[in-house]
Amino acid sequence: MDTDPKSLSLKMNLTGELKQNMPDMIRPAAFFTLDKNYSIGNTVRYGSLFRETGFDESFLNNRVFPPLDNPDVKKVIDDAFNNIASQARFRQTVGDKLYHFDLYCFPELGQDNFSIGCFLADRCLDEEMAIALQTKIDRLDIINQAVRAFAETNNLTEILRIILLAVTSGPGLGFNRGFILLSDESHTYLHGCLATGPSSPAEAGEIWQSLSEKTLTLAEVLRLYRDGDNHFDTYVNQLITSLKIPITESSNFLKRSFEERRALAVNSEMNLNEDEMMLKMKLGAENFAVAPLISRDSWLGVIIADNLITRKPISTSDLKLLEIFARYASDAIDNTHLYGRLQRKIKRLKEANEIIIRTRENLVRSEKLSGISKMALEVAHEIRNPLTVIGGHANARLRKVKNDPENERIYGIISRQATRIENTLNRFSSIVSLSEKEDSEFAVGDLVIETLRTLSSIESENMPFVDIGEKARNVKILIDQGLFHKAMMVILREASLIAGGLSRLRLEIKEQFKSVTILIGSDEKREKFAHSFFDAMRIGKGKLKSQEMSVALEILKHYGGDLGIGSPELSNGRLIVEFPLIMEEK
Amino acid sequence: MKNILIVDDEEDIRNLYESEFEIEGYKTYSVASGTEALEFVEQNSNLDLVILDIKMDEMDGLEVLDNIRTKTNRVPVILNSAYTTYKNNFTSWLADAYLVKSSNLSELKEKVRELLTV
Repeated sequence: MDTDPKSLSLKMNLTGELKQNMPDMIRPAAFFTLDKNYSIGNTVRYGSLFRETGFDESFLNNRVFPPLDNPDVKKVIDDAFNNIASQARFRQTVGDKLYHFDLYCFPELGQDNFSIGCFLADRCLDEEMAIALQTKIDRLDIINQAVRAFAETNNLTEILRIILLAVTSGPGLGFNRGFILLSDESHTYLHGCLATGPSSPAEAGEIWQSLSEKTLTLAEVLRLYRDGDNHFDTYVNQLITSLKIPITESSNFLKRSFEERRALAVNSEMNLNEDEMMLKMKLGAENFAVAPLISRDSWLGVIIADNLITRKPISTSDLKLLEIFARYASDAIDNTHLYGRLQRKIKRLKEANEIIIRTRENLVRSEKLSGISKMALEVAHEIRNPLTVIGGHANARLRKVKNDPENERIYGIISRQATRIENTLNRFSSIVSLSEKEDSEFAVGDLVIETLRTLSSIESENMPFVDIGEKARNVKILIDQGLFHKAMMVILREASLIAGGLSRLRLEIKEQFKSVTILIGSDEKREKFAHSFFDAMRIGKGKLKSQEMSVALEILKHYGGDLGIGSPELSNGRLIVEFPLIMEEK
Repeated sequence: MKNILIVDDEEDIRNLYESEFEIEGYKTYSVASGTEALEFVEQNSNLDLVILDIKMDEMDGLEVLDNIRTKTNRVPVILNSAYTTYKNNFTSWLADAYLVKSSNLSELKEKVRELLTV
């Protein structure tokens, strides 16, 4: 029998099938022979770790090859004794460890036909790598499922639920517990929103047992949550919703994760400040991971994940994966916010559209009515003129026929009937006239600014300074816009003459005593401005010099307003224009 | 005797007003258009009052009123129209009174008396 290991090796290399399947020689491996009694001999061993697999030297020399109870192994060996080279893969438990091997057997090496050559290779590393690869594939698959699930919903709670399921799913990121805190709109606080995970090992066992029995996909688990089939997570959700963490200037691990835009591991070796310690105590975990949720430059919130139950250390790879997943989650949350804003805008547009439709309908109706009104007025005019002539002459004749009863009776009838028709026309005209009024609600500040702009343009002067009080900014009055402009143009033009120019005026608009007050003055004639104004306007006996000013006053009074001089405390010598505010109906 | 100008494009109205205000003791003049009215005001400095219709061809009563007011504030003007809507027109507020035409002339006569007394 040829027992030289070198010749064994040479012969193996020449065997085509074996050559193709030859394992990497760096891994622990051994060459040996087996005789008809399956006894090991001529062992040549490679690799220092081979001993740990259980096939130590004592095993590999002058011993019966151990795994003969495995039918696959026995078949490969028997095949070799029958001149057929083949291979088998088998596992061997040594102590509490499971080892993986490849066994290659080939026909007789010696002349006597009583032994075969064997090559045994340790493939534990392969198995470990395969398991690690499968784990990574599973994790990516869960992330992929989560991203697909994100695309199917715009509901923020569902998005948060998906995030937590992916973070805590066994085949996924595999954390025991997950918490999400989101920032409020003003970025003042992080509010605890949603959490998932067991509160104790017992509950964990129940949950994981339940999940393993069901072997559900992420979408199916999500559906169970939607259907309300979840009696877990109560404790963690009570815990998270009680958290409200101020976003302060000072740094903490939550803020640091946002600023550094990466996931951080918080562990017992870190020096934590008081607030950080408080949060850690509330979470009840010694070690946990924090990953920021970021939209462009704004901080959406954080994911916190821990292994409270299994105490499994959080690896760099776990952190990296959580960080990557947090980026997808951030996009999903951001999309939900954008979708919400879009929905609100669509709603407002719909409302605006409905208003436009209603306004258009009203406009069409008004235009129809307006057309009818104009026609009716033309008719009324055409009737009123001849009626005035007929009735007027009848009245004139009536005075001259006092001694002629028959004519007096007839002219009396004509006069009365003319008056009757006139009364009808008057009633009719007043209705039509009211329907043509164009009073609307206007912000006083806007009206004043607009009037000043017009005046500034006409007079080629700069605008004066206008101080609109906070309360007066949005107050409205009911008025015809054209009439307001006409009245204020007259008043402001006269006031600018007193001040020595429009730009020298100083206006202040205030809301007080259920009215809005426009105070007009100038820097130069501060205390006597209003007196100078009225002195310039009067021509004696209370009559005003300008007809236009009379009209302006009539306009103010028509709308319940006034022009005057207030108390020194209130007006400080300034001219006061006052309008009543629109009072809200109770 | 006070002088009153009646401006109306309807002859029957002019005739009625002339006859009624003559009886009241006024000297009346009448014209049928805004242009004639402005010429009359221009040429007669002794005019005391104008009764002015609004709706007329070529130049309406409000334009006439505006023109009169640029020349003088001395002569009172009563707008007398079959229309009520001109009351809301800013220019109409330049008149001393706005009366809607009526077969009962007592209100118009009263207003004329009042304005001429002042």
